[in-house]
Amino acid sequence: MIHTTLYERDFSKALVLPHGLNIRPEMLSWHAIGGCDAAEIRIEGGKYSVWEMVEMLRCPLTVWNGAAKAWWGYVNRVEVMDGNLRIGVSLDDVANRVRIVYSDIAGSGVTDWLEDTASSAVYGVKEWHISQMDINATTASSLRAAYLSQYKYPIPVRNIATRQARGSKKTTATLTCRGWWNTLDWRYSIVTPVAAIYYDNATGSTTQAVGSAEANTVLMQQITVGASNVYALGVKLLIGKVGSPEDELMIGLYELDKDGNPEGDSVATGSVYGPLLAGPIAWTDLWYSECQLRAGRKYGIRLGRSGDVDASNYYFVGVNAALGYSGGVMRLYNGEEWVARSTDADLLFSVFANAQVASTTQIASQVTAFGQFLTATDLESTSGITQGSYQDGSTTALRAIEDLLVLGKSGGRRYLADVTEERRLRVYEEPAVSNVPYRLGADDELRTALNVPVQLGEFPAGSWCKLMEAIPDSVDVSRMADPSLQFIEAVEWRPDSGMKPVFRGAVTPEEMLRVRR
Amino acid sequence: MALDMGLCIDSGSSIVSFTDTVDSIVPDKSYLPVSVEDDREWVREEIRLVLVGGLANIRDTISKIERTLNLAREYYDAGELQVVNLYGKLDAAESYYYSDIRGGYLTRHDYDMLSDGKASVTLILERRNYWYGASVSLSLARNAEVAPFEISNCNDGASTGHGARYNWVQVDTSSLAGDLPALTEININPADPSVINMGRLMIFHGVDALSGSSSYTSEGDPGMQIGGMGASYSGQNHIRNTLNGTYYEFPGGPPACGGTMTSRFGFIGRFAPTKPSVALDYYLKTSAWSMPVKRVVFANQLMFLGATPASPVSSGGAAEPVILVVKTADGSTQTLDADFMAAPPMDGWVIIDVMSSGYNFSSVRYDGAKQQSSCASASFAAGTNFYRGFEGPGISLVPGRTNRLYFVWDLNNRAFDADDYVTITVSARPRRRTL
Repeated sequence: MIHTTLYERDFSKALVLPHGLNIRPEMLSWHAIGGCDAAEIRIEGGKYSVWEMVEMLRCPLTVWNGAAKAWWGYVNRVEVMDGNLRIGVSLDDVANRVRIVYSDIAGSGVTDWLEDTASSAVYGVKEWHISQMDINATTASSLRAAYLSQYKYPIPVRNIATRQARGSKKTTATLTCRGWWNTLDWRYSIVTPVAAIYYDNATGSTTQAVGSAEANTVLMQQITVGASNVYALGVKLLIGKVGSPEDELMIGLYELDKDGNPEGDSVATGSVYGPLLAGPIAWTDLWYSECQLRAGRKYGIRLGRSGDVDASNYYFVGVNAALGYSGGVMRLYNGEEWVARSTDADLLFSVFANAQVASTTQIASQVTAFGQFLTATDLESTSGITQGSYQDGSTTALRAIEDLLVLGKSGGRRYLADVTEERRLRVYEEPAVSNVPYRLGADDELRTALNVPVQLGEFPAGSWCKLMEAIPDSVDVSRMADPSLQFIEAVEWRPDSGMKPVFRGAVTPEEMLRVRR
Repeated sequence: MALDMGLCIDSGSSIVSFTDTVDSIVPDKSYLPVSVEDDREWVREEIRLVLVGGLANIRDTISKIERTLNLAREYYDAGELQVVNLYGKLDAAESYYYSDIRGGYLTRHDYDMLSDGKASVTLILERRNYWYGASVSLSLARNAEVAPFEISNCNDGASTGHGARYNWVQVDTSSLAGDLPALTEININPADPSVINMGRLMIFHGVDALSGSSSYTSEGDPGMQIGGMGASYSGQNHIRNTLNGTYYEFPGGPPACGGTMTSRFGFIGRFAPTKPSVALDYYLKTSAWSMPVKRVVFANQLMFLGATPASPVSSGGAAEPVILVVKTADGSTQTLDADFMAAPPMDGWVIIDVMSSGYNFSSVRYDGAKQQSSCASASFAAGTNFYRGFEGPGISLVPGRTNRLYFVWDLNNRAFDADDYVTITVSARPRRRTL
């Protein structure tokens, strides 16, 4: 017997539902990536009981087939149809944690997150990362507050009743549910770079002017890469300014010549716009495009200004005369040659880099950091593939994990993922084609290898299926992949049609119409 | 055969009688209840009525019918069912059966016939896809015992001051008529003082159980707190096993309780891992089946671990054990104490969260007709029932078959006492597809 249970949002116990409701699943679906994917539950009952369903947003829901859990997830949308009135509330447009990436002619930046904790305590943290051009930091801050105020709670939306529903005296509701996997799309993935090569001991440090006189036109600090390649993303420096320099402080990473001075084209460049610097010395990140610094080699960090030398308006950086950095020396360019500082010192710096981490480890880290409803990650194997882990926060954890799953296992197949009943994310390699547990005959009924029809509560998505008697022997299939073997990418169940597989490569109508953010 | 039917409230006295023994309204005798052999919950049907007795009487009857239908809609909108009913019986010697109405209306025609003191109308209504009879109290049976039957939180048959300890009872459905599973109500009352702190109650229903046995593989001693089992387990009736990264079969799995050839069986138990944060991989198996591996953190409480897809009962009727096979997910070593492992049938089941910590209950009710569970507590105002959420498809006793109910519970501090016991009463409304 198919039945449905709704639970308290904190998962503690079954909800006491309004009386007299008839709750009937109309559609359930599962996907090889994420497991339980979507569900539509139709609710019929008394007018007031049905209307109470709008309070069920984000409540956990389980569909049972007898004693077996068949589908689990949360209520993402509720639509009530009451006569001609059709009102929907959805979590899709809720945002209770917002930040703005802004830019204008003076530069760009990103605000801190602003969170409405009352909303996130009820629904969970749901982030919006918004990019907005032609605004400054002050405007961005106001915009952030306005977005949060408007979208922190679900907004009931009146829809147009269908012709069929119009005039109906029944009050019904449809719960549109999503699997827990989809909640990974609620948060943006931020994985910070790691300090790969650094000398940042500011104790007893002093400063060195850059671009105030011919003698300090350019500053250079040699650095030495350790035993592993470094995928550098930028350099953090102690930077201040005197006066009001209107140009940029330029940074470049260079190969070194035989004398240990920068040569050739830069490996990477970045800059900071003078007016954006506060003035007093402070740690400042200078970003550039990711570049590979090879293990054991020396490079030079080169600092100079984009404008002319100016004794009244210039930059200065933190240096330390304790000479605690053993990977190279600092030099100044005086217009003619590279020379040591009058009192020799090392630049205070930190080259930050994109840490190379095993893809499966990254998946587990993403779930720990951003999978607010997932309880653990179970990796059935390690990928053997390392990959940059840096995430700048413009991609959700879901997309980041999907990208990692595609990489698969070294020399093997892609990874699949499944959120279990206990909300643990199970990550496993796609089964080999030699493992074919399902079959589909001309009657279009999915069956097990023992020829037993697949029941609700079994999970064929992510498995291979053999098409029985589907293609006559007379058809030449010698130049195709074995057409009788199909990978079940998704499965959809409806009461009248049962379990229907969607094979890899097939496009469902829903996918054709789906608009991805 | 005299069709006797009409509209009533709460399965009670007639509000509007259609019977031809009343001179105000006469059914045209063509009514035959719709019998829809599917899972549709409501059916729509028409009843043609001939109203007699003159204009005033006809107007009054029409008003009564429409007021009753409006009432049905109002109750339905408020979520209250089983309030306004269509009732009927085919013969005077029979009992009335009722079908809930959620709304309807009258279409009037033949007003010009009023000249002869008659009017023909059609009553169009939506009613439940079944008919139910009056509630019947059902007697209980177990071995050769006599009432009252105490239900213990274990099943060792040991004699105690209050009787033998069994966790099951058989329901005598010989007085239960009908052809559909009955609307069943179960009331549970605490007989042992400690039970008033009941936390989670599981009730399982087995149909055609072959025997009353529902033995646990292991069951706790009186007063034992499983949370403290590690310190005092020696000599007590639970199993302690050391787990590591290799699958380990718990010895002596519980036999499927009174198994039949058709039932499915769940597996319950109470567990106390020494490392509660370490996930365990487990599966259940019988000689002919094993479930896919699941990875869970075993909570220090009563757990439902899954169900067999078919009866683990041989064709000869012998109940096979259901075996728990488990290992640590990370390969580490730890001990897992297990207690109260049982394999009850799952022809029906409910899991009710009875009381939160800090409250005591005085009764728990499962009402299958309304699909509700509720409890009363001395902590609340007298007569107040608090609705409680529950999991499961519900329990519906099947007439003409052997029905057994199995109970297990823990306390709201997750403790578990084998010497706890409750008393129950069971009643049911028989159901028919048609009159």
